[in-house]
Amino acid sequence: MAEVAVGALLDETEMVVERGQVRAFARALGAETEDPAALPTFLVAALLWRDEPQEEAYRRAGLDIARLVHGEVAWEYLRPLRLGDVLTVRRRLAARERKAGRRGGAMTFATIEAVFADAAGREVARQRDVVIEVPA
Amino acid sequence: MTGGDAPGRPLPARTIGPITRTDVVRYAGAGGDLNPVHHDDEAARAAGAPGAFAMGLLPGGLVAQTIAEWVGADAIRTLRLRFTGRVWPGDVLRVEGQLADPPGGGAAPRGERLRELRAVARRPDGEAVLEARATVRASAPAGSGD
Repeated sequence: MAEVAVGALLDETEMVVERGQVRAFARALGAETEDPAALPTFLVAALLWRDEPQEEAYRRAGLDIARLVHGEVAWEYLRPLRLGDVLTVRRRLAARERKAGRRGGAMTFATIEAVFADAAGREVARQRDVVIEVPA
Repeated sequence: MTGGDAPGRPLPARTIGPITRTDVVRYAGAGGDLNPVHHDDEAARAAGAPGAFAMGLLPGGLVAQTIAEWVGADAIRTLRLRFTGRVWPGDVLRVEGQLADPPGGGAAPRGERLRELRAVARRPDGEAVLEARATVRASAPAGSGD
C-alpha cells in the first residue's frame, strides 16, 4: 500500500474500557486498581483493540517499525476515563520530516496524533507520539 | 501561597526496578506492544541493539504512576514523556521531581490554578533515560487565597 500524505487518517479503532484490561495494565505497572482514571498511560492499550498488526499503520505512514525509535508521547486529558467507556480512536499522521542522519542514510521524524472520543462524540483525551525512523 | 506546594518544591524521590524481562513481557501483553525488539534478543540485534530492551512506555508508565502518587491522578491535565535513553533488563531507576509555577502564571481554561511538574528518571550511572513534564491542578481551588 502506498504511503499516505501528512494529515491523512491512519486508522480508526473502537476501544472498550474493560475492568480486566485495566487491572492487567495496572499490575504491569505495579499498581492495584480497577479505575482507569488512576492510570495516566492507560490509553496506549488501544493497541490491543486494533484489527491489524501494529506495523501496518506505520507502513502506511511510510515508516518501518524495525527501525523505529519512540522519541516521546504526550497526552491531554479532557475528562477522566471510566469503566465501560466505549471510545473511538482516530489516528492521523500529523507531521513527517526526512533529514540526513549524522552517519549517512535518511532519518524520518513523524508525529502521530490520536483523538479519543466517547460514545456521545465528546473528546475524552488526545495523544501525540513522536517516532524516529533511524537509517538501516 | 497555597500551603503544601510552593514553587520549586522537590517531591520525594522514588526508586523503580530492577526492571526484569518478565516485567517487559507482562507490559507487552497488557499494553499490546509486541514489537519483538523488546522481548527477542535476535530481533533486537538485527535492529542494531546488543539485546532486547524495554519499551519506553514501561518506565514511562512507572514514572506516570509515580506522578499520580505525588499529586493524584485526577489532578493531571497534560503529561509528556520524552525517552532519552534505553532501559535494559536489570536496570534500577531513580525518579526525582519537583513542582513549580508554570510560565505564564498558571491560568487554565477551566479556571483552575495549574502547576508544572517536572521529573527525570536516571540510571545509577547518572544517565537520564526519561524526562517527564506534566501540568497538574494546584491542590487548592482557584481563587482561594495567595
